[in-house]
Amino acid sequence: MPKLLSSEIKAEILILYHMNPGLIDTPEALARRIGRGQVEVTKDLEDLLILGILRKKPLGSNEVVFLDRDRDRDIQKLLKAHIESLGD
Amino acid sequence: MMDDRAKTGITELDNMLRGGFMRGDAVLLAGSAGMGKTTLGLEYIINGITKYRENGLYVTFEQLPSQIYRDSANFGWQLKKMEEEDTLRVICTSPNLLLEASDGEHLFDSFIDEVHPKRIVVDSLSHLAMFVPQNELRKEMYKFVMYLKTKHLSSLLLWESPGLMGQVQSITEEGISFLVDAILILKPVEIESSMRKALGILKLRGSDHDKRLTEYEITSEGFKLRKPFVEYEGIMSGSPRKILRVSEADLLKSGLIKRR
Repeated sequence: MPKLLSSEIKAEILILYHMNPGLIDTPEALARRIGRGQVEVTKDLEDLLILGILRKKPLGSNEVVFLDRDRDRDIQKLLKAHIESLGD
Repeated sequence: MMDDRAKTGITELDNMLRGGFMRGDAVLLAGSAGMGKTTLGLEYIINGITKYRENGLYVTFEQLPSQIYRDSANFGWQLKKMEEEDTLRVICTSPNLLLEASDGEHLFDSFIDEVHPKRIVVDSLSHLAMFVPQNELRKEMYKFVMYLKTKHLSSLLLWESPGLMGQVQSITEEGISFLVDAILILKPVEIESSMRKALGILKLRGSDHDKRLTEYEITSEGFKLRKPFVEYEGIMSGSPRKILRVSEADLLKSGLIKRR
């Protein structure tokens, strides 16, 4: 959970994918979609890939990043539980 | 046995098409901004899922899916629910990735495996055209159309025509019209100082179709076809004129002709 919520950019990427689960694009295009530079997005994107919420695959000369819908559902449950625990 | 037509589910349009699009065909839907291309595309996909049990893919390059979910909800179409039921995928990507993917695995392959679609809408093919040099456009479009056909998808490919009034020129200029099996146009018509909308079928390979330009509206329930513009000519040129229908009796009465 700390890794998931450790930066603003991570939250922006998560929200973007959560609202647009069919988004599949290059890291460069993702950075553009949230109005950030590619360099600042890369590190946080890597964390989300390690956590397994996002996945990537090669496509021609590019790499594309997309949401793992099952993992996203698990993360949402975790987040919900975390928020509820804060209220206790 | 599966019907050889992919019905749009819009009764009047299916009647104009003599039953629907030919199954597996690539259909170009051309029109300028605000003409309802996206609405018609979504309705084609949604009717496929809800009326004919044919799953679909909706591909968008410009709009984010969240906008499409919101706009669709205004028509009562619950796209997110369809996605949860694995009957639909709304895919958002960069147009150049479709071309990159030509070698080996295609961008759509995993989505096709997930929902086994029979229909696809690409919104829009003109965005794809922006990434391809002019002299290679036709070849790249051909590859893309053939990929869709190989996957047995009945496709509706949206095409943004820049001109607001007059002829829908860019379809033929780019040579795209030869690659697709059918062409529908949506165009604005100015009649008596009010803006109306006309749908026409320019081409429907392998089938008869209604040749008349027909008025339509975008209502709160979606795409509604009205009556053909039978009282007007010159609609395609952007300068419609009312056809004067005068009976022989009227002419006799006015003295313009004499009884023989």
